[in-house]
Parts: sequence; structure tokens; C-alpha cells
Amino acid sequence: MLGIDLVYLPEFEKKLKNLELEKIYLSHELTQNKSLESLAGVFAAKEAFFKAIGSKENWLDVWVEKTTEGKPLLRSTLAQNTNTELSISHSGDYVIAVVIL
Amino acid sequence: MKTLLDLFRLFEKRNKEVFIYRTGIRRFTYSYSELHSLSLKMAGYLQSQGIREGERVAIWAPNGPFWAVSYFGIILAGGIVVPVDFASGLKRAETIVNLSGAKFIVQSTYKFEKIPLTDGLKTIMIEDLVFLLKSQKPIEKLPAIEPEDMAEIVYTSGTTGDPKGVALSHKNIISNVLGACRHIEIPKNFHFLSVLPLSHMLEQTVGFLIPLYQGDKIIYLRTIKPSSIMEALNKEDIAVILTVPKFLLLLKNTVERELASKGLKFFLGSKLLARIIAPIVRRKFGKSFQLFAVGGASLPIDIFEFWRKMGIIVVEGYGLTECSPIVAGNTIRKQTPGSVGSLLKGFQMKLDGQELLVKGDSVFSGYFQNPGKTKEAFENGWFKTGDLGEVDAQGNIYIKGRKKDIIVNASGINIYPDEIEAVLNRIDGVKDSCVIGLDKGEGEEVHAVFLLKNKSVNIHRIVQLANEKLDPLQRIEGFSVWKEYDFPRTTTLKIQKFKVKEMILNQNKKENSELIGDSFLSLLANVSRRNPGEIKENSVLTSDLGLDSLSRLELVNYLEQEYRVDMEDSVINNKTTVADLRKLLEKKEKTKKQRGLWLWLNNPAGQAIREFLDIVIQRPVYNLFFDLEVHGLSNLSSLKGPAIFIANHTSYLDQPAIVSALPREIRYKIASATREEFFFSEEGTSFIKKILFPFAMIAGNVFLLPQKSGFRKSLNFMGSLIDNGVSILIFPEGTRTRNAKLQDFMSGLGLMVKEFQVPVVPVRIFGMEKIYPRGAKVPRKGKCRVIFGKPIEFTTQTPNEIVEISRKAISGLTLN
Repeated sequence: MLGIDLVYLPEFEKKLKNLELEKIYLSHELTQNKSLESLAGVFAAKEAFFKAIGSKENWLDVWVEKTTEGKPLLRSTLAQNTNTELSISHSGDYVIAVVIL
Repeated sequence: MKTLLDLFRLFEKRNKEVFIYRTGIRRFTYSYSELHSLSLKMAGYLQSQGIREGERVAIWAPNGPFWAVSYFGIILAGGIVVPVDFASGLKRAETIVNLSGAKFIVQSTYKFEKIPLTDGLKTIMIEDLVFLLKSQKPIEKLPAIEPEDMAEIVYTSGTTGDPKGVALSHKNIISNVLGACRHIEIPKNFHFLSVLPLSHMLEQTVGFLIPLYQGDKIIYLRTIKPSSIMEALNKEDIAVILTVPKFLLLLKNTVERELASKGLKFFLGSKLLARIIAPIVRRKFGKSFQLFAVGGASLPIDIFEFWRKMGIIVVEGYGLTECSPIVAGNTIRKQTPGSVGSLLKGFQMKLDGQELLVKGDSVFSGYFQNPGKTKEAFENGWFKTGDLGEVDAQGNIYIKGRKKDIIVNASGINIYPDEIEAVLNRIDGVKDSCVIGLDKGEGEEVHAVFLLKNKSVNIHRIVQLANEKLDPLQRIEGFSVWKEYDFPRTTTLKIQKFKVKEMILNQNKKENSELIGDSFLSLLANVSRRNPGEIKENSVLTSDLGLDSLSRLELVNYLEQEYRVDMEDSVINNKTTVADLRKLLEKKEKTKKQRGLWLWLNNPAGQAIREFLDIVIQRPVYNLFFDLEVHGLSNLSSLKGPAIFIANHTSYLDQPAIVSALPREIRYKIASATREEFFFSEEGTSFIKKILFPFAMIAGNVFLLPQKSGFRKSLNFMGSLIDNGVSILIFPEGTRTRNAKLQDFMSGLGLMVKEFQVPVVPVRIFGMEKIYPRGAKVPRKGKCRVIFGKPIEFTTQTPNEIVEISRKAISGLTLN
């Protein structure tokens, strides 16, 4: 299964200020991702994951971690025993994420 | 008791709970003696970070036990507390930190923007304190504190011009704690639910220091939302909520909406009928609930009367940050509707014209480093409140208005119109602006009146631009366009605001709907960045209004605040229309109950049943199949409370074998997770499994852990097991091994460990793969070995790191 999501950074930045972060991000995601781009990347990854599984679920049931090599890992309680692949890219004002289950 | 230090000394010997922290998954408890020792450690930490006596330390973090620890830690280190509203934005927080000259700041991970560390400013995340303080040395010597020493600086404004940092001494605060406590006559054993920010003096004095003084309990919530509030009321025996009038209005609306949906609204019609329905309404607040204490903004009489009809009293008070803050109040025994009650002992009051002037121990001595403003605030030693009022023959005070140009919003926060006007006037297309506070019965709203350069200017765009630039606390909530050539002005060209306000109010009455609009539609317009006129009832949110996932989150967030309902943004799908959303708001969605989660199995009766069944049925049966050999039991002696036991999975008999291997004090206080898909599959459930499942629940204390959706409900269930001192056994591989090798672990384990904050005990089982492997029809007798490893305490590791470390720990357990 495949999912993709694109985030426009200027818009993301404005909205992020008004949102309760604990509804979207787990605490380690906030400590591992300090820049706007990387937080947007995590957001895009979560949204892409929901698209891949075909339903919108709790934002906290899927999360992104960085391996020591810096590659992002996607983990979820909604697909515990499924292999997941995630790739995030960023250029200018846009961040994009692709998820394969 | 003269200083906060004296108050702190009371904690050490008190052998009871002080805080309950409800995360939604777990319920953490803290005792007075823990608060005592944690605060001493916090002081030690701050001193190790270079904080010396008289230095300022800011707290910009949400309410919770560690806010309290930070507060007392700062005081014990000899520092001065600078609380910053967690809702305020980076700019405001940064200004306050700079103005106060703070050397250290306690911030939160849950705020995206962090204060940049310059000029030797240091910081810690409040969420990390729980781990950090474990190994921290406490201070040994308490500082010498005099009652006149400054304890904290509370900024009431601060983005532009004249910063007003209200400097409060220990004497100011303590005299108000004692005075308010006696005046209101708060009984002992009165549990508080905290919903207002601790950065406000109202919450700090009445909702924090008073209960701490009385030896009471305060309940904090990780997320303050309607469902978590109702759940806390239901489970925590709460007596009082300290809040603002707007909250009571929203709650009243919710109660009325709910009664209306059941066709019971007519019960509110008369006093007699209301008496019948009142106990039903009251039951939702828990058995001990008695009162709302309100302040910050004026309380409309009809809200007071509504709650009185429901049998819940509303005690209104009056105060200002400058007075630490309570000046006057009604009492638990007697409330005068419309009045803020009588003057507290220790205060003197006089009227200058209509303005209230006060004097007393709780009145501050000046604004921090601002002699000019300080001078303006006093007259011959009397503090000018800026509020206009009257006093009746019984000494009841009635607030009639305000002298200063300040907006006091529903939460009691002071907003300075000139700061907002300065921002508005810089926006292209705005000729001039005038910001007023409009009271629609729930505290004042920030209302901007615009004088535009020409008619073609898009006013919605201007408001959006302005709100992006303003601090969240200053946000414009309503606006209008001034149709005449200019605002009414005085001879010195100052805008006559009272005239503008009068005209807007009149206009408002006439064309209420047109001007302010349907609040639901204006919310939608705001989020989708369209004109309200473009939004139709059958517009589809995603395609017609262009709401992307981010905007949906934003919308749901606003709706939650406005309607006091819990919503998940996942309710909005590709087909949801404006009308659908309206319906969703009106009727509450019933949540599906997750099966296979019975908490009662873990009470003493459940445990006794289990022990009985174990001895008469299970043991004899299991003895037929396996001989048990247990290693590493000594590793378990360091466990002080519940833990998560994780084991490799080789056979259906793993669970009984491991549970049997446990010492008796854990054996009947452990619940085991089982795959939901094992018992209940989508293809249907066999008869045997249907019978087997209740038996497994009762005799084996098994619960269902779904591996797909529904995981979160089981997570909550496991949280309450741990709260009740029950350990959990899970097989993180999820399925039995096919080749005796350790498979990958479920990622959910990492999430569980992070949320539960209990040790993880690795367990390895050998031999079962021969006794009763996958595919075998009947077990064959053999030897089974169970090894318990050393408990692992996790702190700031990520979920995946937790999973990896746990997996290594299990594979490292061998028989040699």
C-alpha cells in the first residue's frame, strides 16, 4: 500500500503555532526534530501513512524516529507486524513524504 | 507562616497525596513528602546551573506537578519566580524573560518555538525533570528569606512600551493565601481540579497555594479538554473547580444541549421542576462536587442562578495581580448575586469618586524596574485599582466598570488595546483603528473597529494578517468597519472609545447576525480563508472549501474550544459537508466499547478467585504437561511496584508457565495481553474459543490487545491496571515463533513503556517449543525453564530504542 503527502511550509508554520502539539507529536518527535522542515516532514509522513492504510486514525498511533545513520523510520501501532518504508524530501517551501506498507 | 518557605516546611511531615496527574492513560500520584524532596532537588539543580539568590527564573510550561516542583525549587534556591502564560507566544515569552533578566527558563517540549539561549541563559524542558531529578542532590541549607523579600514577578503586559512586572513579596502572597482561605471559608479535604493556568495569580493563590496550605489534593490534567475534565470529575472526588465565567457559560450550554437532546429541557423552566433534574445533572460532577469559584471577569447573574438551580454554588471574587490577587469575595456560606462579595480582612478600601482604592499586606510595592508606572499606580500609599465600584450597606462590593483602557477577557487576562492598535495601524489599507472590549455575556472579547483607506480593502484578509502578528492572547475575535469619515475624537484628537463602543453595541443589537455572524460559519471562514458568504451548508469541507489535513486539525481545535466538545480530526472525511459537521457538533458520537477489558478481575476478589482456580484446576493440569525450573528470581526483588514483563513467545503454554514461575505476590497481580485476532477474527469465532475466552479472562487474567485499530483503548486499560498496582505480561513478538528464533517486536511496546513509566522485566522461556509447539494437537510432557532478567528503567529513549534494548535484553538471557 502506498501513501504520499505534500506540506507547504509557510502555511504549516502559521498553523503549527495554534495547534496543541501533543495531539500530533509524541515527545521524542519534538526532541528529535527541532527545525520546522523536519517537523513538517514528520507531519507529512503521518498523513502519508493514513493515506496508505486508507483511514484517518489518531496522530499519536504512528510516529517517526531517526536511526543513528539519520534515516527516518516509521512505526505504528496500527501496523505492528507490517514492514513500513518511509522517505521524506524537502526543497524550498515544500516537504514531501512517501510511505509504503 | 510568613514566607513561602514556611509553607514549604509544612510539606515534609505530611503523609498524604498532594497531586494527581492524569495523562489520559495513567494516573500518577505525588505525596507531600515527594513534593518536598523533589523541590529540594530542583533547588540543588538550579544552583548547579549557577542560579544565585535574588536571580530570576522563568517558568513557561503547562500546569502539572513539575510546575509546582519548579516553583518551590526556585524559591528554595533563593530565586525569584517569573511565571509566563503557557498560551502566550514566543515573542511575549521572550520579552518577559528579557525584561525580568531571567538567567534560567523552565520550558516545555510541547511548545514548538523555544526561547533562544543567548547571554548565558540556560534552560530545561519540564518534561525531562522527572528523570533528571532522580539522581540530583538536594540542597542542604535552606535560604534565609524575609517576608519583605521578592518572591515573584508577574507580567501583566509586556510586548510594547511600558512593561508592568508586578513584583510580589512573600508577605504579599502569604497574607493573601491566609486571608482568602479564612474569608471564603474553604473546608479541609476539599479536592481541587486545576483548569486555569498557574501563571495567573488567581489559580496560583486560590487553586495552588491555598490547597497546599490546607493539606489538600490538586488534580492536574495533561490535556485540558471536556472529556478529560468529565473523567476526572467522575473518578477523583473533586469538590471545587476554580474557573472563569466563560467556562461556566459553556458548561451551562452543554448541560442544556444535552437535556434538550433527551427532551428534558422543560425541567429547567421552573424552580420546582429544576429541583427534580438537578441531582441527575449534579451526578456528572461526582459525588463530592460542591462549587465553582470564579474570578477574572464579571459573572452574569443568570449563570449564577442556573447553577444555583442545579444545586451547585458559584462563589465569585474580585482581585488584581497587583493584590496577590484576591481583594474581595463571596463566601461558601453566603453569596450575593451580582456582587463580588465583601472586602478581605487585611485590606482597606476607599472610593475616590467611583474608583476603588485599596491598601493592605497583599498589595504589591511596585512594578519591577519601572518607578514611573509605580508612581502612577499609587496615590498617598493607596493602590488605584482602575475599577469603578459601589459598596452597599452590608459591605458588598459591586464592580461597575473600568477607568483604564484595558480589555479583560473571559479568562481574566488583561489585554492592552494600544498594543493591538499599533499592530493594526501598520497594516496596508488601514487608516486608523480602535480596539474595544465587547462583552456578550461571557467576558470581554477583543473587538477591532477599522477605519479603512478605501472600500476595496479586504477586511477579512486584514484581520487574518493581524491575527498572525498578534500574540495568541491578543487575537481579534470580532471586528467591524467604521462607516463614517472618522472616529469621534476629543479636542486633543484622542478617539472617544466609549462613543465608538456605544455605537458598535447599538449596531450590534440591530444587525447582530450580519456583523458577528454565525460563530460556526465565521470559524469555518477563518480556517478556510474564504468569505463567510461563500460557505454553503452543502459545501464539502475538503473539496469545496479546500481544507487540507492541517486545516482540519486547526478547525477541530477551534471547535473544541468554542463548543466544549471532544473531536478527532479523523471525523472529517472526503465527503463531510458543513451541515454534516454541524450535526456532529450537536449530537455526541457514541464510542464503541473495546471488548475483553475487565478491570474488576484485578480487585482482591478477582485475585482470590484466581488463586483458588490456580490451586484446584490449573496447577494440577499444568503439572501433567511441564516441570518448571525458574532462574533469576532475585532480580525481581528490586521491583517496588508494577512492571511490564516481556517474554519470547514459543507456545500457548508460555503464559501459564511464566505466571506460575512468578513469586506469589506478583502471580495473582499480573494481567496478560493476548492477541485480539486469536480469539476474535473477522471470519467468526469458534464455539470453543467463545467459551475459552471468559475462562482465560477469569483464571488467567487475560485481556485483549488488538494489533491494529483499537490499540489505544487497550493502552488506556493497561494504564489503569498499572495505576492499580497490577503488572502486565506481554509477548512483544505478537505471534509464536516458527523456528525458535526471536522475531521482531511490536512497535507498540515502545509507546507503552513511555506512557507507563514503569520498569521492564525481560523474561526468557525455554523448552515450551518442544512441549507444545505451533501446530501440535496435544502437549507432550517436558521440562520448561523460565529466566527473569534484571528490570530495565527507561528514561528519554525513543520508542524504537526501547524496543531494540528490550529485545537485546531477552536474547541476552541464557541458561549459563
